[in-house]
Amino acid sequence: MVTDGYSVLVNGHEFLGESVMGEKSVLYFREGERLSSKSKNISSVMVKDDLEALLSLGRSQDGFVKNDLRRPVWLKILKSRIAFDASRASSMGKEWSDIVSHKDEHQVSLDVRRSFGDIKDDAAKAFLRQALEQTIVRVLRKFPQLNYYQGYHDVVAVFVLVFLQTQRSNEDSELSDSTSGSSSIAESEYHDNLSSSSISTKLADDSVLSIDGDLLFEAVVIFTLLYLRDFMMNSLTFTIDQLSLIPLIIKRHDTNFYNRFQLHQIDPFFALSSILTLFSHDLRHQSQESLSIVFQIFDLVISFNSMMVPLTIYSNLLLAKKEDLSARLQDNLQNFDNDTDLIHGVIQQEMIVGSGPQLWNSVLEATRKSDNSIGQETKRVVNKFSVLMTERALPVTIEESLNWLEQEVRLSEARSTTPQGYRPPAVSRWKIITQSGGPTLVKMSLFVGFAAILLKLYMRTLDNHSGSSIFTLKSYFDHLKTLKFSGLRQPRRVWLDPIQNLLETIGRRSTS
Amino acid sequence: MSGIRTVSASSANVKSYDSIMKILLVGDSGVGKSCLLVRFVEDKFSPSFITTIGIDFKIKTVEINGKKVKLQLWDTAGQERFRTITTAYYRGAMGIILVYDVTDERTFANIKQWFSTVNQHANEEAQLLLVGNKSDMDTRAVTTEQGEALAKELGIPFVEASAKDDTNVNDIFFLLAKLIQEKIDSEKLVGNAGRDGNVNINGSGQGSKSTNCC
Repeated sequence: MVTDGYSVLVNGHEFLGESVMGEKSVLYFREGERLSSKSKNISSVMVKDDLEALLSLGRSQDGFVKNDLRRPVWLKILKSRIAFDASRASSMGKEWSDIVSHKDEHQVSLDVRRSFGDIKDDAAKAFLRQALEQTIVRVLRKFPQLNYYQGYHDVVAVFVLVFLQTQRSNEDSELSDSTSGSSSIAESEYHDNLSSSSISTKLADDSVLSIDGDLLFEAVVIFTLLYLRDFMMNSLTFTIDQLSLIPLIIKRHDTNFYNRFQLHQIDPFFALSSILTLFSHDLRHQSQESLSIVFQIFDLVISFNSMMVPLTIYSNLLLAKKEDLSARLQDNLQNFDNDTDLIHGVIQQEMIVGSGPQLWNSVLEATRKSDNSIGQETKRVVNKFSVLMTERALPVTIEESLNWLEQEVRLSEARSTTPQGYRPPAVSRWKIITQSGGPTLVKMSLFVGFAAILLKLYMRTLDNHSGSSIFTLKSYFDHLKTLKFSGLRQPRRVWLDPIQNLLETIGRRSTS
Repeated sequence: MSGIRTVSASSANVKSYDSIMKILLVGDSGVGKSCLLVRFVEDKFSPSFITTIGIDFKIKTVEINGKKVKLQLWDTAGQERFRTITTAYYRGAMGIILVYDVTDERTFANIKQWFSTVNQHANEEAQLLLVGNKSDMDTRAVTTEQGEALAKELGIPFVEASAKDDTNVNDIFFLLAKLIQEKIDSEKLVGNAGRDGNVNINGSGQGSKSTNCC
């Protein structure tokens, strides 16, 4: 239903009748009013230094509204969680540009070259790319234990856009939202902070672009250490762990959909780029409106202080589109080689076709209302030092956060040296079933089973007084050995039916 | 267990095509895999095309020998760390395009490694094809002869192409589709169609998965 409404609206957008137009402009007017009142609200809360109020504004509709507000607000919130200072950081060691290069810098330059493709002005594009590359390289050199992943550049690119300031001569530049006119207190505070690390460039139309490199760096470092650690290990293992939470969330909301899309056995790799980039990879190239959705998603992650947010969003997105997805699945049943391909193909095609602003707004609204805290299941799927686990322990010092990183790196390396490169999701799901899915049930059945064995043993011993339990156990192991050496290849049966073997032996003993 | 597809395989879908081919593009990061695909599927070229993260899926229906063939094109991320994920999609691929960049020797040198990864994870009967992209560039570092020699050594066909000025891009996909079609036809004579083989591989793949958990 949601998606039906949406497709009508998309068409409505393209072929708006005049009467609808009138209605629309009233809506736009109201929206403008709402946004400007919210902006004022955010600015005054910034002045009052009320962090809690700020967080709740970020969690409500439209997030932090515009990038001029996001800059100081994001920094304030992020710094309240890890007090990291770029100037202090660089004075402690060498200048970042002097530090030996990071192993992944070649990949970074390959990806930076492909960034900001949607920016038409060549000078602006070059400027943004320069800021992007410098920031990523600086982060990697500062924290060489981090591994760069394709997609990290998409995340940092969002920060570059938020930290970009435009002083323009004319109105209709497309780079960022308006800076002139509304001079909020928060903004002037930000301007006061402009340091020597600021880089700028003048465009052909006389507008000037500038970015404060140090502030951008600080925000990216804190965001990376808080929320992206799991993705920057030596392998994708911990990323895959996070992805496997999506099916669990879906299952909680809609078992039918979960079963229909075989989410118990299909690896949710289809969500990889969305989660790794907090949707910036999939959304930012589509339109200005979808770019605004990306900023709001970052607002949500920062104000909820949780990387559960992207996972919840993805699940909500699937659920919002479940009818269309099911129809597409039905149409494609015979078009794919295997189920993994089928599910991936169907989901990806559907995501491309119909994910417009209307749908996104309703998904974000659902996410704001969702429980974004981690559940019991999360704790069993992700590692102890996952960003999903440590987010509750904030604020911390930079040293403590680096300690988490070190511990997590160690866990990741330990996992990748085990013969099983990554733990198949089926195993983790099995763990969930046994440990949380129905612990009482499992314990109960174990108890009943064990009691039955004891009872049976006891009965047998009563039957003939010669059999002692130690002796019967020994005979069970002897029995196993015989099977093993006699070349009988039935390991499963041996392990599944120890009771039977045991009882047979006892039985035989009693009759002999 | 194995599925959604088999359960309702009898449901009569009106097919707008005669056959389906699964094709995969692999190769180092930045060689232009996505650009080749976008040129072929949408006839567009953007000099700053976006990075592929994980796996991307596209579809294009073409006509070969009067038959409508639906090409399922799977684009993969080049960065090493995604390999655990991308290799999961090799299964059932009928054609695999190994792409390098003629201006970057490193990407050419790595083709052998890609070749062995493909051999390790793909169907034995998959048709391979070597492609040297960016043939329009003046800064060429790998000659056409080198490309041909490598293709000969690996025993696979070779095409040089440019997604930028649209040289040989369609040829890549049509050549590959034709070669696959020939394989399917010849295998049909033996009485074992490609699709059946795929189903078997599908089954055994899931089998090995379950032994991992025990």
